[in-house]
Amino acid sequence: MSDFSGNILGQPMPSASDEGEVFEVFQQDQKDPFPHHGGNVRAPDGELAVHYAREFYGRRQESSRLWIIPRSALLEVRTQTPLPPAREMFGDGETQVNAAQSFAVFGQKQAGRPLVWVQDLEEMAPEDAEKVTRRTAQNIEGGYVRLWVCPRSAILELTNQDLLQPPLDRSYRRLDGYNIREKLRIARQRVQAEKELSS
Amino acid sequence: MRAPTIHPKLALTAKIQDEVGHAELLYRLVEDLGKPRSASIEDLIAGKGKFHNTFHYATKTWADVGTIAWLVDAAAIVSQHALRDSSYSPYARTMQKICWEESFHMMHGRDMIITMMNGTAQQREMAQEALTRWWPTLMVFHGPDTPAEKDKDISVWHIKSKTNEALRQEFLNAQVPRLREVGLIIPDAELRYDEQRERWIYSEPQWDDLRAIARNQGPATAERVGFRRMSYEDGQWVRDTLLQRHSTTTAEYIA
Amino acid sequence: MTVFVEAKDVPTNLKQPLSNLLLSLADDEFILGYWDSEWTGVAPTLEEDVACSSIAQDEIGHARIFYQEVTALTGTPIDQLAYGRELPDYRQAQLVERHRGDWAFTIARQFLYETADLLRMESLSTSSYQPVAQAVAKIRREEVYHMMHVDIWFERLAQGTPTARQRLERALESLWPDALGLFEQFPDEDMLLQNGILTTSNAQLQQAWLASIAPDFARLHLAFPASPSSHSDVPGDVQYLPLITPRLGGRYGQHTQDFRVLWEQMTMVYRLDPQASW
Repeated sequence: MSDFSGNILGQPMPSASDEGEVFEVFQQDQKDPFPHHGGNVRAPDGELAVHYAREFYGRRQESSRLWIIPRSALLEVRTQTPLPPAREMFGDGETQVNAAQSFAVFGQKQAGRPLVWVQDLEEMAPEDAEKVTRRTAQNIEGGYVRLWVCPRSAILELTNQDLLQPPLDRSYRRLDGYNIREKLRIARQRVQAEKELSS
Repeated sequence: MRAPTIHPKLALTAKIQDEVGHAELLYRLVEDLGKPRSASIEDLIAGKGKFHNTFHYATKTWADVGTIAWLVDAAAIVSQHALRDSSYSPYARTMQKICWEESFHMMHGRDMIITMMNGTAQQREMAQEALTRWWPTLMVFHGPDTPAEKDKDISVWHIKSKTNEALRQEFLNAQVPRLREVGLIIPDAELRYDEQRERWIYSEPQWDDLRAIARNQGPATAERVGFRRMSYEDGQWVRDTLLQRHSTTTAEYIA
Repeated sequence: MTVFVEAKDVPTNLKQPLSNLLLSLADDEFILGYWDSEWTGVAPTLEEDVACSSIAQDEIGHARIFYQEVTALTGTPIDQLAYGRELPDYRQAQLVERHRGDWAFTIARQFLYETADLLRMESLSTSSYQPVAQAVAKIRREEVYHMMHVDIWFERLAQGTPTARQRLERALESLWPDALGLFEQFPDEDMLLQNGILTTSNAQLQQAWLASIAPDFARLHLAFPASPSSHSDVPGDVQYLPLITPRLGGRYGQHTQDFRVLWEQMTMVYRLDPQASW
């Protein structure tokens, strides 16, 4: 999914469902310079979300890195409307929300395209992160039609290569694991021979 | 359970795993549009689901597995490709992922059937028998020849880009030569390509069978739905215990 | 200590014991993988279905590696090994051949098996038989994921709803005798130990295993059918004495009705024509 702040009917999408929370999954493979949005999974919590993300976005060794982010931690920065106060956005009542944190910025270049990671904002208060993100929207070459921020602390990262690129043969579940050329040649020969016999 | 040797056992398990994964992707989309997963599944096990017509038929032999993987998936891919450009981009992206995964299934099925056709006489008979039995189902897969203006998925919702008949023709174009080249006989004496009209001519399929399926009354429907219901109910206590722990953990870097 | 670089380096008198050992390792993973794969399509959640299926496929993949090592030693093709033996020629521990059961049974068995296998794989990583040491090095890396997954679930069930907890306790009670049979002595174990093919005896591994999981059972207040007693002179040398009778026999071809049922289904198509290629 490329767009998760509103569904086709314009309503905000549920970040929790009747059996857990939705986690957005960003994936990066060898050729990608940075992670891009791949889809989402639902899990009761972050621990299982990481497992499931690996299954849905990594079991065919298609990713070398995954970011798993609770949908509720991704906040869209709308250039027109102001963001709610920082303590509402990022506070859980316990953490110091005015304390400096790192943020990741994600952007969408064109409607319908997947989100990509744009940049990290180091050590900023949430209000500053908002300001910088808006400036980014205006200044970055190529522009982004939409932007989101999330605290870096909310990103669950999976880079363990034993999980993403395990050592043993899994070609049976990939297209490149099948080579039917030789078998086809044998089959065609047989069919040809049978035709000749009967004619 | 009955896969003959290690490689087909692994490949088949992976294929079923993928199908489950596809269900998850589609149910996730539906949930984001407002319908909770439990509601979708409850509809399914109450026999109200609209799942695809091929699931209503029984599988009899090992050759069915290869036949289904090759031909049913080929038929599905043709439909799915037509949905990849859907105007609803989350759906389009999901269909792209599904198509990418289905391409391995079709290759796996074809590999299995060709291996059987190159094998013993008993194996060849098994493969032919499976094709003979499944062909009528494949011919109704894409639905009746509904003109574009009457097909809401095309004209109104812009989800689908081709008519049912166009999809069926695409399927026949791709698969008939491939079936024949390995020595399989298609059980339709009328089937031939008309050069002038540039289309495949075939015997009229049994549309009554398809109508029964649309009412969830196919030959294996009750058993399949019943089995789903039982498995789902058996797992309720597990879902209940999962719901107990519902909070996001803070960042865990799994290095 | 002699190191055996490849199959042809193995002396004749060691071939059979080594091949039996490899078959045990292969059969354990193979049969467990088969039961675990029975969740594909019917697991409690769709996400868990996919996760569980990967684990089952990994297990069958690991079995395949060990069967390939047997082929290298004996020449018998792998599918004939996997599907062509008669019932008493299989060498898995009875723990893995029991029917998949409910979710709690699967998780409980997985926990007992994975924690034991962790130690077994570690001890084989320094085997004098190089092909096994190399295979095990790769397998261990993949098992990390399995262990993570079962740890999560074992905790959740133990600390879950009363139903979850009860089902887990019942499953464990049923499985413990079989779990103790995981460390049944191998045929010709002494010879394998003398030659460094095995680096630790089953008895020692069992002790290490019980010591490694006792804290988890204590923390989760789960019954643990072995009691620690320090009766040696060495301080801290605790021996665990099982309080129940282990169910043995798997390593010697003695199997249960559950396996008979599985074997019949599993080998049905293969037996139609063992010469056929699929």
